[in-house]
Amino acid sequence: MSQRISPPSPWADEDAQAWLTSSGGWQKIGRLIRSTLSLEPSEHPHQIRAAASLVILFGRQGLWPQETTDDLDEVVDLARRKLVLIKAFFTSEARVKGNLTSNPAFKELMESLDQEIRILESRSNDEPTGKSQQPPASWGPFWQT
Amino acid sequence: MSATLELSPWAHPKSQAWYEMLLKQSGMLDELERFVEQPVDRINIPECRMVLMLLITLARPGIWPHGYDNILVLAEQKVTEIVKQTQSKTNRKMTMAQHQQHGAMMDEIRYELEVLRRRIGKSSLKTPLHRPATWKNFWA
Repeated sequence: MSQRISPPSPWADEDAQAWLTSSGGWQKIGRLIRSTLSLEPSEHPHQIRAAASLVILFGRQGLWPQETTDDLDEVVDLARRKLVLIKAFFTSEARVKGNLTSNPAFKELMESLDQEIRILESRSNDEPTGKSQQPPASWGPFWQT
Repeated sequence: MSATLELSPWAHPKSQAWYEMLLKQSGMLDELERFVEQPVDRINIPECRMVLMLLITLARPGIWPHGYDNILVLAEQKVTEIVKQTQSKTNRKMTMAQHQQHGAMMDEIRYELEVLRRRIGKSSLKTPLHRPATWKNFWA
């Protein structure tokens, strides 16, 4: 009995990559994400986290709109570093504004940020080390909604 | 940060405004609209799957801007038509291995299409949907 050959992921196909690479909109998305990630975390935490979420979703070979060969590694590392700073900022804000650190929702947010950071750390390695098959805790039923 | 914590990256109004700015200012929404408006015979399967992937990841409340659901509806119609046409055009000269490979590809695109259908309330599947099989290491 012959073994069934698994098709590639949508972003591993060269024709699909060529189509996406030729998209001016996709290149602009890459530039806008990078410029948002360069903002100050304490002033724009929600926008930066939104930008980092797209690095998690699209920051992979064959998909990310790379301008240079090192571009993907750099943006993944930048997103990771900014999420670390945002986590510290949220923690500091929560302490200042009362006992939010013991709030279950706050703990879930922290756990989700840790998972988002771990995904990006894993992405920085040549061989992904992350073992998670699930999206970060706060991302909800990702495939349903 | 308010006492009412916003949890997902797309829950906060400032995040939502950012995603909307990104998709509109980049011109990506217009490009996706132009893509799905093409005649089906000008769309190939790999491009079709790439667009499905973009829509599956981006088309969710908080990220996808209001007023652009027509792109999702049209994409679902076009991919459905492409799947139907591709099935009817299956080459009889294909080897057994090619047939199997083609079948696996069509199964995968049908599943990806089902995820998009769920997103626009058109899925007939009652079971929970999971990560498409070929989207390996998606969370790693």
